[in-house]
Amino acid sequence: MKLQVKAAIRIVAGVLGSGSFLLAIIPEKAVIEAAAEPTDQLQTRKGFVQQFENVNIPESLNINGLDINATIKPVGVDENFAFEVPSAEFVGWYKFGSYPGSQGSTVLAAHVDYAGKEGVFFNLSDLLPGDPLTVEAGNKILRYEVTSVTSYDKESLPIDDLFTKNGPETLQLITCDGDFDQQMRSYKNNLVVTARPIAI
Amino acid sequence: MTKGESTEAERAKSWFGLTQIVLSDSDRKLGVTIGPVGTWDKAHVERLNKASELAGINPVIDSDFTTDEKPYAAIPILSYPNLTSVFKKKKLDWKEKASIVEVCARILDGAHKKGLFHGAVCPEQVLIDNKEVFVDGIGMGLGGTAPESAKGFVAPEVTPNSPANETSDVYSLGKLLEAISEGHTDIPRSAKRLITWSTSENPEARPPTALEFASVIRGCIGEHKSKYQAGYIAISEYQDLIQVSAKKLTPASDKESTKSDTNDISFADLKARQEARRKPSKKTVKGIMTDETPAEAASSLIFSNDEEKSNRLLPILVGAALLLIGAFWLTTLGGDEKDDSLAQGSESSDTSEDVSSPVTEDSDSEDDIDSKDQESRESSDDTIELNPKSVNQNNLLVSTPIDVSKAGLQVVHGIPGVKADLYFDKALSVKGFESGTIAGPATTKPGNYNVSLYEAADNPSVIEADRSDQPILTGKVKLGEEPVSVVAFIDSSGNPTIDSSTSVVTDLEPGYGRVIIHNYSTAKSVDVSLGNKSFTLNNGSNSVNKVNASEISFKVGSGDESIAQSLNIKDGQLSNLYIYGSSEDGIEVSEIRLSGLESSPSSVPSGNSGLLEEKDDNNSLIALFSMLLVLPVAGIALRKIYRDRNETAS
Repeated sequence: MKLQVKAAIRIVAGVLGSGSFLLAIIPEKAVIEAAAEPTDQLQTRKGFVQQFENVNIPESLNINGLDINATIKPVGVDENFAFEVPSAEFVGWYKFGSYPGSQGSTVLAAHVDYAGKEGVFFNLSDLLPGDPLTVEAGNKILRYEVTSVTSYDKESLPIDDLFTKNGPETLQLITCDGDFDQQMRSYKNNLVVTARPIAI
Repeated sequence: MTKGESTEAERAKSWFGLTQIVLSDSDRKLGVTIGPVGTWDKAHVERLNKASELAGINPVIDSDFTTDEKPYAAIPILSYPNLTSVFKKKKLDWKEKASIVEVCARILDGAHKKGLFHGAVCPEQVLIDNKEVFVDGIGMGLGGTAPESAKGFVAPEVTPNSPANETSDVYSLGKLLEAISEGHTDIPRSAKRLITWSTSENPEARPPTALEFASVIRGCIGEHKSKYQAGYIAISEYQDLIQVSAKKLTPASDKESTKSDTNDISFADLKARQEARRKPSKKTVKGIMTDETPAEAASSLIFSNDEEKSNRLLPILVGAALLLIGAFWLTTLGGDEKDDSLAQGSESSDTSEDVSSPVTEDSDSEDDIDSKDQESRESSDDTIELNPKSVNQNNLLVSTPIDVSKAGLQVVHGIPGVKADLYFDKALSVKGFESGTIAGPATTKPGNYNVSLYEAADNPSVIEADRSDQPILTGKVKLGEEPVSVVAFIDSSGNPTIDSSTSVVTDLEPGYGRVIIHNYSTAKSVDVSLGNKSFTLNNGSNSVNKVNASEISFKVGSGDESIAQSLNIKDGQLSNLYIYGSSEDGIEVSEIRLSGLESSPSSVPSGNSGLLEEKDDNNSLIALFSMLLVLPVAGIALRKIYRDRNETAS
């Protein structure tokens, strides 16, 4: 009973707070019937959803320390829903994920090697926390610094965290690492370099 | 005109041309801004009219040219407190302030997409009504001298000869963010970076769109949930004002009765034009339009030399001065260029078609009406009546996707033409719930809830039990872990009904989105096309479609009516499209967009040649070689030390 009275007071307070109504006298009966969980005024909207078009499409990745200056291609997934990493000389940006300069992870992946050739990310494991890198996107140069370099067993790659669209902005560079399985023609590990945006 | 109003008229000088209050009652004021001739051309008038129901701006009730070819716009004058006074009254934390700036950026983006710019966004131009945000004066400033309060917020490249554009508004937003950040110590570095970025002297070095500005600022704010949203004023709320005035002034064709107010008469002129535009043939405005009064009135609004009205001359003189300034611009532009600009005007009106969203029924009919403008002025004969269809029900409010975890219970009002009070869980939750509107999320907590709609009352009681009238409909809804949409609609037998549907919120494969189309209209079936797929959808049924994450066209038609919209479906998004209404009175569509259904790629295969092992081998070879090199050297060194020690010992 006490709870209900409190709820009614909260309703009145909520309504007063919204400023659109006068204080209503609430009869005892209403108090009893009032739901325990009062609602604030609900937000309303109309018509079709509008959403912003991010124009920060990444165009090139520059890591001076490793002599990397590579063109970035927007890519999706292949028929097995695996990241469609482009050929040796390109870096792929996961176009279904976040954009540089917005929240969540911008994911860039490139081959460590491809068809017998060294890939753009051949020396990625040489990066150290604090190393700078830049991404050119939509006429702007966005700066980042490496915060971690981690080699994960592919089985335990925290892929949902790496591809999240929420939370603080990060840049994730992914390639292959670890032992090479000659039969499967694939590496056992993924190398993940995480970087965060820094002020110009 | 009362004293209070005349101060209002002075308030809005220079930057926005001359604003005169032309109509007001206890809580509504409508002003008319006379724009600079030339820059405010036919194309600009068209843009203003097209943007009439954008969220977050005071809607343009009407814009056209007066009989003496002065461009004007009739806009409500909002008396909400501005940011400066809001901040003075109440201490807000940085994130809350920043979220207001975010809303401003989104409002401006909406305006930019319609080809309208501001030029001088500053705290004085941002108005707050409870949690609703308005940016005042969008599309009114076409260069000129910014008001004192906007100094420092105007981008350096904006001058009388070079009007505001998208990036100059981004500059103002950056300055606005800087201004609201003053005195705060907890400003994220990313926000500081955004300020520097957007206030760059070089327009090209700034974020290219207000939307991008908004998205970056959202990133800076992080998880903080914004309480603010773009405000919304239906032009219908003001159209009756116009109607009353026009009626009042209809007999005022003879000069004696024009004693009332010069401004009012000019307004009758405006109204007449508006009506003529909106009403194709039957309804009339002849009584007003054929008078000479409006033309004279319109000119007296600006150039009045009438001695008797000298007490009202001050604002008018200001206006005249402004017009002189306007004329000065024109002369500096040169006569030839003026002709060019007119030609450009008609061209750019074409391009503005491209900019605006895909053609909807409304813009179609508007075009039709425009073309009949001339005849209607001559042929029509009854009194003016508001055409309810002329009130655009189909325009956009700023509505963004909702994360699936926060979508909870939402209510779609799909009963046409009924304004309602919504009670959620027996408490008043939306007062004056308009048809086609979506309310919510009401809650995200699982449980059973009560939803009722009553016909809107003037002072609806807070508690549902206090309602003495019968509800239009009422029903119980169960909310589980998945979001639920409650739809109020008219069933095929014509009765108001409630239905609830859970969205199909299973995760989508990477690169896909989902579109669910629900037919809640009374039409037996509607014709739908989605991308390159066309089908009919029966009343009461829905269609679930998996789509590639991309821009996809959507069209729904019933009878002669159709609504077309391009949907930008992103990876992991679900668009619920609710079709309601009837083929007779027209169908409408409201959308609930959910996000967060995406899944990550299955793996990142990024190497297939095993060269890394060679690199490792090479590294070990190098290590071995260096060992081989180092060892003898070290050996020699050690021997030398050993020998030296022995020698000193002996």
